[in-house]
Amino acid sequence: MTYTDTLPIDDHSPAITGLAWTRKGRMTTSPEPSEKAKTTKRKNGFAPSKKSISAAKRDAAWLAAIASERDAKALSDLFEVYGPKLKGWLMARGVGNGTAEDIVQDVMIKVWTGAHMFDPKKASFATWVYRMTRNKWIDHQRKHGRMDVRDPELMKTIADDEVDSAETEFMTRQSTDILREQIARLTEAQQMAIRMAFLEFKTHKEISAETGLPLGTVKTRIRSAIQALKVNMARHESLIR
Amino acid sequence: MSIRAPGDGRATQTGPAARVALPTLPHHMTSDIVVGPRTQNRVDRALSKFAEGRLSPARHTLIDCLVSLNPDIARRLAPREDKAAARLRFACAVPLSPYLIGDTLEVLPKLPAVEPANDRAYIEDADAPHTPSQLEKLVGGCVQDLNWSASLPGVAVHDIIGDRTTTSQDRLYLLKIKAGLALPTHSHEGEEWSLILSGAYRTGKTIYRRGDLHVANAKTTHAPEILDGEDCVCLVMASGKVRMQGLLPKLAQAIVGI
Repeated sequence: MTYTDTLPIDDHSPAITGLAWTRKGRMTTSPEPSEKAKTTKRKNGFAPSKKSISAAKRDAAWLAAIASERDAKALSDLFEVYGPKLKGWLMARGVGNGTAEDIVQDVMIKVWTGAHMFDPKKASFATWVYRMTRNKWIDHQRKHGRMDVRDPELMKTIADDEVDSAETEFMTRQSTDILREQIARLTEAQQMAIRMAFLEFKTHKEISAETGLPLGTVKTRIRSAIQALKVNMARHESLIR
Repeated sequence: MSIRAPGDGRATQTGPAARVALPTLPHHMTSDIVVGPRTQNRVDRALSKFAEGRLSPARHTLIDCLVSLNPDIARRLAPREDKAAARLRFACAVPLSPYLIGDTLEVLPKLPAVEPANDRAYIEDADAPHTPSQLEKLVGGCVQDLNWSASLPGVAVHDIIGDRTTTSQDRLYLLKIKAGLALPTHSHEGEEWSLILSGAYRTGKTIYRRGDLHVANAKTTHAPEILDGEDCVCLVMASGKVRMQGLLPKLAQAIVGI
């Protein structure tokens, strides 16, 4: 904190306290003023540095080589540059080592087959390949129904979710079994009515149309089935207790 | 959620970004809605999360389709994706297995050389396909030819992710409602995003057309009214607890009385 010594003491500027508001509203220790100015300028303006311009040119050249010459060496080079980063990105999201490599491999094959679709004027290669990786990852989540438990949003949801106690869960499962058993004991006609109304989510009208029964009969049957179930379940519960 | 306070007309328009419309479509098909700032914020937040890959598969797919249908949204998404991709720089690089690159090079399909698309415009965008290609890929065919399950007269559903018994994740489905049908007033207990693929509907003073995203959150009460002329097909994402008390069961309750 050497530079604070040079500033007047009654100045309550962020520099004197060594804290500065970032765009996210969090206090951080501010670096040397000149350095800070430099970083903010780059951050806000998103001006590509010389390094990234040359990287973009290099990527574009590789892509062109892949599209027009089917140059496997170019793909291998791209793979070496982007592969580890993409894998790291995936693994930071809780993807396993093998799956992450599978996804990266899929993406690289897609780069190979779709290289002619890449337009450097529309987006940088980094954005393009990132987008493909991200979409593949979401696709993977969809197929495998896996959620990223490290996602803070999800954690919040899970934490807020009402979790049934083991006992409740057991009781629910048990009563489901009992219910299933009781349904099996109903008459054939009642069973059908229950199945169509509550498992296939059919409307009374649809059931009536499908079975050829009058609407009133369908309603009566469902009602009588529910009544029978209620009575049986109550009897069963009183037996348990 | 009110999209626009009644009577304030176009005053809520906060510049070109506030308009969710399809400039490529003829005038009579473009949307005349002004989406209020609150919806804009919500869509912007969704876009940021989409760019970072933080949306659930159902939400991600819906936004993906929205982006391909709506050039304005695509324009707003671009810088967010650039930013997210730039963050790759900070991702911790994990070394690849030693043979991964070699193995990949071996399985590359043999393809003819193609001239890179330097000056070529994206044919996909200009053509404005009826259904976003990613959606067709997901449902495996044209939207019109799907096996729709009709649960109510005039309303048909085709599940894509999850079904009406799903409770643990976001659900994604296609909804087809007959032209001219007015749905009874209903509310949602979770978030519901609808992307209109064809046709149009009106809730209150707002008309939603192809390429528009209708965001309804918990406690939104509305009665969508499908405009005459064309059946309305929407891609709908319903989250969390909306499912069991969602649109269809409510409809069923109101119309059929179950």
